[in-house]
Amino acid sequence: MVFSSLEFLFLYLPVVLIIYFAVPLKIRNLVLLAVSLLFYGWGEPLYVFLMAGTIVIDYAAGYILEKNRQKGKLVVAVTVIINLLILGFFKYYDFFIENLRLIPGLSSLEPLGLTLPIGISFYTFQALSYVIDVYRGDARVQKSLASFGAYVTLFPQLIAGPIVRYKDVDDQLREREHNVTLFASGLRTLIAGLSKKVLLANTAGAMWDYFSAIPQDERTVFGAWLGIIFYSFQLYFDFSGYSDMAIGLGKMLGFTFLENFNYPYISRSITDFWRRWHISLSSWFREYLYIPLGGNRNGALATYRNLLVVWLCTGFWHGASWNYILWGLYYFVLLSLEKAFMGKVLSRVPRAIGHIYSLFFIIIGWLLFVSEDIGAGFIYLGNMFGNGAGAGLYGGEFLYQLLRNLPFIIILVLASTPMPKKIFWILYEKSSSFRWIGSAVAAALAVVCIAFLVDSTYNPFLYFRF
Amino acid sequence: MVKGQIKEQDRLLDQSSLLSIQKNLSGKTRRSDIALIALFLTIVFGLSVAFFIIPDKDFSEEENRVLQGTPSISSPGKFADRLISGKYTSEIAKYYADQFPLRDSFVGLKAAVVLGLGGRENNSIIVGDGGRLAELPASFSEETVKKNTDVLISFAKVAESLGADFTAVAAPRSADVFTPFISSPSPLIYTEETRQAISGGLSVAKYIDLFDTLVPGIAEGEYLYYRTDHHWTTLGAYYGYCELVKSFGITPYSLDDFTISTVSSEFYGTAWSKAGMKWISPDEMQFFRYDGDDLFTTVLENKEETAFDGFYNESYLDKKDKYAAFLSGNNGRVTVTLGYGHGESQPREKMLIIKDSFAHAMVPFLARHFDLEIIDLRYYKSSVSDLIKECGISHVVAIYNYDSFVTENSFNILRLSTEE
Repeated sequence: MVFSSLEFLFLYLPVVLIIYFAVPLKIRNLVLLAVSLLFYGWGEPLYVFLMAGTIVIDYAAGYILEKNRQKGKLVVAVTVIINLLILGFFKYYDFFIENLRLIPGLSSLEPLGLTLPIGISFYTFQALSYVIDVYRGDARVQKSLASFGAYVTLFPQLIAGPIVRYKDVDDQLREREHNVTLFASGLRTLIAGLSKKVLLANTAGAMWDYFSAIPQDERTVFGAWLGIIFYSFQLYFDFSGYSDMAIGLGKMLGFTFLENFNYPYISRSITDFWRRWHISLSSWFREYLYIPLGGNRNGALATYRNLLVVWLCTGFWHGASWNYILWGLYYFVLLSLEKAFMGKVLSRVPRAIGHIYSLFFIIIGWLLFVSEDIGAGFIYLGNMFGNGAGAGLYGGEFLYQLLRNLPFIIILVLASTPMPKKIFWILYEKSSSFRWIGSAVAAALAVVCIAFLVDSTYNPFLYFRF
Repeated sequence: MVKGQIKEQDRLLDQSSLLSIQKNLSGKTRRSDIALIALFLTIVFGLSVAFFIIPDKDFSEEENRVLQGTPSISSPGKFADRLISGKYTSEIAKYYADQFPLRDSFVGLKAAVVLGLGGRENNSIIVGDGGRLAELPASFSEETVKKNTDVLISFAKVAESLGADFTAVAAPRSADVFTPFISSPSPLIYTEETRQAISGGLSVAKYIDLFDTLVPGIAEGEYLYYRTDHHWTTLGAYYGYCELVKSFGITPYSLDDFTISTVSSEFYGTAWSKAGMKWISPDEMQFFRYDGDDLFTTVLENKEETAFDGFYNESYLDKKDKYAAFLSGNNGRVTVTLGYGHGESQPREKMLIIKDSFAHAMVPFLARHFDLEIIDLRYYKSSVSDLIKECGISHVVAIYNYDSFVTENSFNILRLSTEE
């Protein structure tokens, strides 16, 4: 089930809210586990058992770790391997088979054609963080299977993140506060996320679909640019919208999750971008891969090797396809260059240049990211620079789409900056009448989102590959 | 690295959401927050409850389609299959979208927001001057057109081998003819590409492109296409008829030979339903009647046969899909004959029409000259060559609008193999 659906908002959510707040505090984690399994099983009636298996394995690992401190390393190693094997099998098996088939003599290998369990990359990473945190002594063992299960399956962030590290919610699983102010704040975040997804991302996505579907000989240079810019907006608002909905729903249930996006499109460098984009994933990789590999403590060569490993994994994490690996390598190169000298250069040039430089490479990166057919991606890239765009620099259709979307593009640009939120909080602090207006606007936005959902012909879920 | 992590935490703390959490923990409960929660819960619970209370509708007049009913959970074995395949949950999703309370108002609200933000289209329907609605083609593929025209060419060959002549007639889409009313800059409509691809694909056959027949009149404000539907008006179909029969050397009946009567001024067509722009006013629909047009017998052959006098099924005039008043909408095979003893001294020539729904409004005109066999390749499953032989067809005419040519498989390519 996805948040941006009518059956979530008008069947699942009301039922969950009633049950959750009706039952005593003591069994709320159990209730969360039950409703989260239902949430997952709704879309994945078979793989819900796979997820249950992961929960039991990692719960048991935590239990054994506590009893058997001296063999901790072995327990962690075995658990990590089991988890990665499950992830590897369901996500990457066919990819490896498809590539092995290209080797003469191995062409008889058959792919399994299994569908990817939704969210497996997210919940596997979450479950792993528990075992590692407990091993490192960063978190206590969770004795209650219900509470641990609730942590792994927690429906707000189950299928599209943020990847919550165990130590960040350890305390909240034991005790958390529910009150009106928190609930209202969660609601505002939920509505903001829903609006990002339904009003901004879906509309931008439809435009990307439109521009990418134009046959090459009808394509214009500006049209190609506008198309990929729309895709960049779609991905950001879709992804950060999901994260906001997760954070908001979490808050309504008494959880505080860390922010997952911090206005990535105002970055002044690629390094800056990766501190702002999908923060929970990059911090996971930093904490559980980069630093264990030695981080930057063993000299320049080892540092670059570690970066290479991390970025290959980051790319591959996003999907079992070559373009994601390429995309990861692309960022390895950019980040290495910035580490070597570009970073210093960027800190001296005017801000605007840093922004333009970052956005340029981010946008080209998204083209690589979206092009599972790498060849088609490069043709599109060529079109962006005038090579093979059959209809010239721009045409009536580009102007049409630009003009009709102009107010919308302005909204997209403004919403990519911290300004709206800042203004909201300043007014919220200062003016009581604004607080009332704010509530009314939030409710009105929710109604508009419902209208868009009722009439939705285009409402994709982008993370099937993750 | 500990230092680095502290820095990371600092940065996150900087974010306003954490600030607000700090505020939350120390702050007092605000009435505006209570109001927000109350509003939201009222909306969510109100609509949830309304969804359950309001009885389901089987059919949407507004959108002219069957709506999804409660997905069944009976017969546990089948239910498990459907659940696992995801069919059940997707039916639930459709059920919610179709039966949602105030659905029409929400659809209208969305259109209003989209147009309010300066857009001129919603759900790929563009609105031109004077409330003219036109569906924008999703894209254009020469290959698809070629596949479709190839089917017609093969029918042309079949017809010729059986001694009948073949003519193809193509009518433009609303988007093609409404361009004078779509202010610049305009979206991609692919009119020229489409016209060239069709005429290229049909170059070995006799082909009449109605674009130049219809567009000048429309540009001058003649009412040849419905503003809210994707079809042409009866007058538009009349011009199409004139071009077709002139190509046979027949003089068409003039407009004076018909009694034109407005049969509905409340026609909200398919484009209107899709656009969600509730403020667009309806179309008028006219019948061009003539003395004796009720002496014709129309036989519909679908699952069962039904026959009626004349061409019109007026019961559709009270429904949403008023265009279906012509020939009762889409049917596999329709036969239109003039009963014996009605002033015809000798049997009339027979015409076979292979068509989409654009042909329906043309039938009352063509029937004045020919006995008609009308088939829709999407529904008619028997052999066309047998039909030509059995009925003694002398003219085979294909009447389609451009959309059928650019749409995948509207000519049912698969059945071609059974033909040859």
